[in-house]
Amino acid sequence: MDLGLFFGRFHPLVVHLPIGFLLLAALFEGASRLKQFNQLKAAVSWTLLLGAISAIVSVIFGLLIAGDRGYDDDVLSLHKWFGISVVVLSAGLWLIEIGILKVSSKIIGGIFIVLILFLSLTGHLGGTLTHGEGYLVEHAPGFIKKIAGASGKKLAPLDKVPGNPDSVVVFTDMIMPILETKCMPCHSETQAKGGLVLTTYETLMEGGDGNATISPGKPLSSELFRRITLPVSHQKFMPLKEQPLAFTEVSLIAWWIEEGAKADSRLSQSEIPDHLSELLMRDHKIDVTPKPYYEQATAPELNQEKNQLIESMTAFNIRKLSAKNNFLDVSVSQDVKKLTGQEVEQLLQLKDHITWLDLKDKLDDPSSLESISELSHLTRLNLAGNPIADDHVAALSDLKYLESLNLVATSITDVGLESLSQIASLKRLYVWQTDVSRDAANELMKNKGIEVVVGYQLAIENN
Amino acid sequence: MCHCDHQKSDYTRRDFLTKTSLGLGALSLSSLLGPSPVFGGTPSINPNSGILGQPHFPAKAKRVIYLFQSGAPSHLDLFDYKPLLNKMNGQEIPDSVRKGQRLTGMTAGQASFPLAGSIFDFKQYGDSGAIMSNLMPHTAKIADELCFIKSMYTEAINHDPAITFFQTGSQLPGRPSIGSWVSYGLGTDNENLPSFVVLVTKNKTGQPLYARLWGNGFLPSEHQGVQFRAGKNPVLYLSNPPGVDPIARQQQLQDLEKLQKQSYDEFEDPEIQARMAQYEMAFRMQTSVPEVMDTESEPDYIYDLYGEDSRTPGTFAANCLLARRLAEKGVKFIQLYHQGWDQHNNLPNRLPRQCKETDQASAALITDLKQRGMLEDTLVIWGGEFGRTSYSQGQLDETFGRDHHPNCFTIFMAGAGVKKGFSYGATDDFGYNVAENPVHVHDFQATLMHLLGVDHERLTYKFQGRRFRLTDVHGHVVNDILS
Ligand code: HEC
Repeated sequence: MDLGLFFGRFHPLVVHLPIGFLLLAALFEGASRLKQFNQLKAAVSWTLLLGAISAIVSVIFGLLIAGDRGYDDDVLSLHKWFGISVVVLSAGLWLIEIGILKVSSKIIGGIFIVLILFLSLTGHLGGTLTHGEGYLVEHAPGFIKKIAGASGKKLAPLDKVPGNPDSVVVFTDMIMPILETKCMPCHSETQAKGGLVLTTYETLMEGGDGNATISPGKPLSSELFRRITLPVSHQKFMPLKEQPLAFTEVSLIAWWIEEGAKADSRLSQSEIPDHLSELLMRDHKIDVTPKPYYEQATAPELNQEKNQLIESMTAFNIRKLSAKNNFLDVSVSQDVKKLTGQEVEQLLQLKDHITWLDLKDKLDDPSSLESISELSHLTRLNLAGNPIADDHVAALSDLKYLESLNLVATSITDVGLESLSQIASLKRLYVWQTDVSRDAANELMKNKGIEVVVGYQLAIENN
Repeated sequence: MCHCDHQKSDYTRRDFLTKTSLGLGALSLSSLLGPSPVFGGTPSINPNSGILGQPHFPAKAKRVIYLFQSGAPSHLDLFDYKPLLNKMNGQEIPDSVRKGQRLTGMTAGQASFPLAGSIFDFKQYGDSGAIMSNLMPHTAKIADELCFIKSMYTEAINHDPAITFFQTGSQLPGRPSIGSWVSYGLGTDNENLPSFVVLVTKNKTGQPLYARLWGNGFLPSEHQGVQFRAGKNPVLYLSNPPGVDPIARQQQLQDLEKLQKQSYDEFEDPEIQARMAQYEMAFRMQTSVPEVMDTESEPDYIYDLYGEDSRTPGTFAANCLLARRLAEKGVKFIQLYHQGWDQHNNLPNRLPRQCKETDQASAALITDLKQRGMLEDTLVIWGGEFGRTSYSQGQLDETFGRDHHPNCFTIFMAGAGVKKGFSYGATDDFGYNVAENPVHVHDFQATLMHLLGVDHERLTYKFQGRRFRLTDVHGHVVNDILS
């Protein structure tokens, strides 16, 4: 039991008394200066006395509660000193009213005005302490907020996450913004409540005065996670006196701790569980599905020389992937029957740019695969219908970003499949109308997770 | 003489001002940036890469095959299983569900609205457990390739406005259709074929289809869909008249071009350019179209895959096979129409027949594209213009039917850029209202454009003083269905 705190908690209740009395005193004082209300003058000293006494009680209770919870120190001290000034001013006015001190009635009016001003400020600062900054205009129409200088809608912390998931560092880009908005007011270097500073990864891991703040891999034995998941009414619940963290934020923190609470893990390296990626998509429109290589990497600018080259390569249809993406999508012009070796060689001059290449039915000489394997940024390659056999495709294993390979209607067999399985990035392989066996295809699907389409696996038997 | 001069000065007054005010600025800007002939993104139409020059962002789909099921297939009997309807079969639909929904003229006079459960068997298929009725056995087998949207809705309740809305983004005729926007924005991958081709199933009756559904609206006319018909003359008026040989034809076209160039130099009417482009295209199509339409070379097992119908030109199945061939040739937007889904009555007999005509070939098309590796960058869409009511039109007996229903219906997609074995959105237990994740027609259109690499808000055309776009002022990309 803490008697101080017990009384202190009455502070918010008691403060309404001096506010009422002192406002009333000011009202009487003002009114009594009009002829028809001058009898009110007699009541002013009494009301002032009551106001001054209740103000003193309020200040005492306030001092008792000040140590209670992690209030913002700056606001608190302002609130305290304004409150004490209110006591001094009201007591002084009382002394004047009962005639112990003598001043002119003009000065009395002035002091009343200052008193009411200080009273309002004290009240407002008190409100800020309990309800947080900006509480007054929180629900005000936009234009009033603008006048009051309060920003319209607060950006949810996660809405600042960069667009490309692969560049997102989980801690700095996703966890930190949450701590910054919801916890930093009380857990910074200047306000290390509970000895806990949440401004950097290091200080977070150092923890506070109590149990391990973060124990990597174990959210439930991490004090931080315990605090944010306690019942809101619990004394130890965090963030103190603020909106609780959203479910998505809690899930994100849980997942980050589970994954080892690392400082530098990136989204791409860590598998985000489905439920979390759905939540991030739903609540923050953060798309954490991994982007294909051609959207992660950037190809060099297409300068004038390259543009001229492209223009001169009439055997091909060449397009930029998009206005801002300099990778190229290349296919062969309709009018070209077969490409000459020379024409294939031309592609090498664009090897930093070509990422999609469609050479279906257009190759004469399988040895040109040697040159094609130098197009190191290829992600999609269509070689269907070309005279390609097992020993030719070995060259393709140099393509370390290749995701999709089309070898439909080529002479490839299980042997060739073996060498293709070396391409770590490969995701889809089309081998319909080849001698690749269903077993070998299934094997590859099971072991390497490559989707191997042999055709007719979806075929419809006529029954 | 003076008449011509008059024409000329007509052109100069306003156009001169607009052209020079912008033109001089644009001129100096382009000289600052340096010439970039291929990717300049100059406003003049480069026939190969459309007005955009290149997509706004990397495209997931390079081409679209849209299997439009005209008349509105019943979602309740094909994809959207509602056991409650069977349980409450014959009972009045609760007012709390119907909420005074607008009725068509066909049921407005109806005193009672008895709920009608589906008489077909529903089962789950594939690893994804997609629910489908036994009317679609072939499609059921490729369930794991499909992405269902079960929460589509529209505003129109009659066929013509609804289908016009779906195809052009406006219930009122006159706007360009989706395919035209695609052709205008992205151009073509094959100069010898139109970039937007339409195939309509032959000899079907039902709600009429008008050429304006694939019309170019206010876009330059070379972007209109070109209908390929079954039979000797796939494209009307394409072959040379009797007695005119190809050489003479070519000479004639060359002379015509000179004349047109003259008149273009004089009037600068862009429609003249469009017409020149079309003449040239028509000439090239004299060889390219017969080539692509001749399915003789297709092996038997491909016909077997698409079904017996595919040997009969003009059937839905034959059109599906053609669609694949057109896609292989790089046609960007291939739109099929199959009429006859308007089961106001006798649904128990007529719906199975419709499904028989379309099920195998639709599934075969997706299968065939997949094995060729073309599902990688081809998007297939299957669906109608709205759904059908969960209550019976007229009496609930063995020849009952369902009326038009805009509040919810199902479509499915497969291929480039969409999740597979996935279902998005849901309807309530009566299959009457959307319960979660509604997808408006404009959202569908925005998503379709997105898959093609186009920001639907940035592909616009200025006409009659304002900029138009496919989705008007609406539409949100449905990110949740993107793979
Ligand atoms: C309004 C101030 C305030 C806010 C905001 C706040 N805290 Fe606290 N926090 C405190 C105070 C005061 C203590 C010390 C008393 C206690 O342990 O409950 C504390 C203690 C803690 C402790 C225990 C430290 C230890 O080792 O003893 C943790 C963990 C903690 N806070 C986490 C958080 C997190 C996480 C947030 C943000 C989601 C947060 N806090 C927001 C005031 C605050």
